[in-house]
Amino acid sequence: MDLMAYKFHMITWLIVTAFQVLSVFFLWVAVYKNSPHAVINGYTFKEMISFMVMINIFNYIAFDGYTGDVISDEVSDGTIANSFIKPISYRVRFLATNLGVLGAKIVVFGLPMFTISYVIFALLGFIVIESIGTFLLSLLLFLIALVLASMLYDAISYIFGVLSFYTTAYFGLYMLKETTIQFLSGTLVPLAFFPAGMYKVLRYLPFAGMAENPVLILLMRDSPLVALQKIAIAIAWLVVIELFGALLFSRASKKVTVGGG
Amino acid sequence: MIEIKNLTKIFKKPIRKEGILGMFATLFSRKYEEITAVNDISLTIDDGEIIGYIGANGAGKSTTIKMMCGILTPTSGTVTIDGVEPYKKRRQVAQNIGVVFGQKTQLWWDIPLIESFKVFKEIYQVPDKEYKERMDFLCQLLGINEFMNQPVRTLSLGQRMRADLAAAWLHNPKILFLDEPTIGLDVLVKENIRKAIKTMNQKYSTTVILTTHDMKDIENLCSRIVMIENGKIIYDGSLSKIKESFGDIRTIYVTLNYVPQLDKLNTFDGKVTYDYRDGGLAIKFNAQQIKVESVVDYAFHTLRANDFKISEISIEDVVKSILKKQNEKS
Repeated sequence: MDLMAYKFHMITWLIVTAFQVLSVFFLWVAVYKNSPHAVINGYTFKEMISFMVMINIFNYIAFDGYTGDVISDEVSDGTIANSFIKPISYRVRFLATNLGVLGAKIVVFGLPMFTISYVIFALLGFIVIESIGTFLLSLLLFLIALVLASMLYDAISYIFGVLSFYTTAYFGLYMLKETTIQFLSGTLVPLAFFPAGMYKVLRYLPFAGMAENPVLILLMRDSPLVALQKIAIAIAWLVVIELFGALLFSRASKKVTVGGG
Repeated sequence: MIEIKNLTKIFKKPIRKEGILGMFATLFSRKYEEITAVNDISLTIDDGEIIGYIGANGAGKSTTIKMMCGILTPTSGTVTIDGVEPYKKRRQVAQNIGVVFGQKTQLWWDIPLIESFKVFKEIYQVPDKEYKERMDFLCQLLGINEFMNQPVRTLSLGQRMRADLAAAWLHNPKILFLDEPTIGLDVLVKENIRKAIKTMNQKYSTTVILTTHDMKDIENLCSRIVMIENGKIIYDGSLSKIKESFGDIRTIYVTLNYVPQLDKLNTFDGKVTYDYRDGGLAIKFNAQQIKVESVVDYAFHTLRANDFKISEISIEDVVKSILKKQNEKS
């Protein structure tokens, strides 16, 4: 409901995303033009462009800062009092909202955006579909990975929100969260561009599962087996992060203060 | 039944220095000052009571209420509602309580009011039949039907408060916490809300804990008042008793067509005091010490009063003077 109430907000974000995609596009055009190699860190130009476009659309669909923002707002204006007197779990409330928003975003924005860019890339030969079977399978795995990515993002957003119980200020926490995720999830540059040692570690952190892995699955760069492994890692991380969040909340909620009135 | 035992809440507040330099200094050294908002209070509230919880701004009323409904965790001491500590079993207790914070709405700001009610119905799992029945009753009682389809942000304060009350009653809570439910409202809406609270209390024998700065609320609704100052309970008892203990002070206002000499008037051995202002004379006395007739008789026959008005002490005066006395002590 809130999603529709803020139509304008959503559309502004859409425009911002479009500009991001454009600037990233020109950046990589310049990089590949000036590079002596046709393949950089395992990505051809065509692969790189499809990856960057897809990951930006992916970001727009899967990431929603709502949870952390709302928690910190509730802490700073004291409306958290209203949430604590409801017979529903604080976490479940945000989980449900996030899944609802994700569903709406997939239908309203994700479906047309992914379809259009996928069709264009396929026609241009940027994406090669070997068989319908693999395509459908990776599409299914991608959808699972997308939901997991969004849940991971939400779980982390929740933790940062709950941290504002202690700090009451959220801006610093927000910046920390955003830059960490942008940097480590492969949204700025593919993780393969990091030094080899770092890359090995990053692949197994939850951040990879939040953007790069799902997009690689969609682009069929991974075999189904590898894709399943990545999904399993994401699930494991999700459990760990949610448990940590629950523990943090049970401690932090004792510290909460309610401002105003 | 609500039982409060030795309840204390201490807030830690970082001491910040002023100015830009001070801001940086605060970054590196964090000193805290401790503020005791609620200081060792004990209280028992029975089912079906309407309690007026009063005190000056910052006396600790809201903090107590927030601990009672499980939002804040006490520093020490306990609150139990029917044997359960609300801040430990938040969700379990939430099902049995309703809360209205006059300063904060619980309703969803951007969506039509009716949708908020529907969400509350789901949150508290109110059965369809009960929901319909109670909605009809509440709509009639509070007159909220006319703006049911408007987004909450377009409602006036009075409309919003009535809607908030209805939302708090939707799941028929055993205990209702009302934190300044009449703040900023006009006389008619206040009257309406008081009537509603009374009706609900009688119909469902809901326990009501009410904080307010409007003494009319207290006089109209509460059988018992608890007064808190600087985190401590300074009075707990019935409304009539507090008036009695303070003395049955009456004031007779008379108009005279001459200017009286105050020091020549009969003070009945110092039991009566006089105050002359703008052509009117206020005669103040304690009806327990001196008969009303004799003062009235004196005013009419000796002072030859033209006009005549008598008033009893209001609860507002009582509270005012108790708080004043407390302030002088501390």
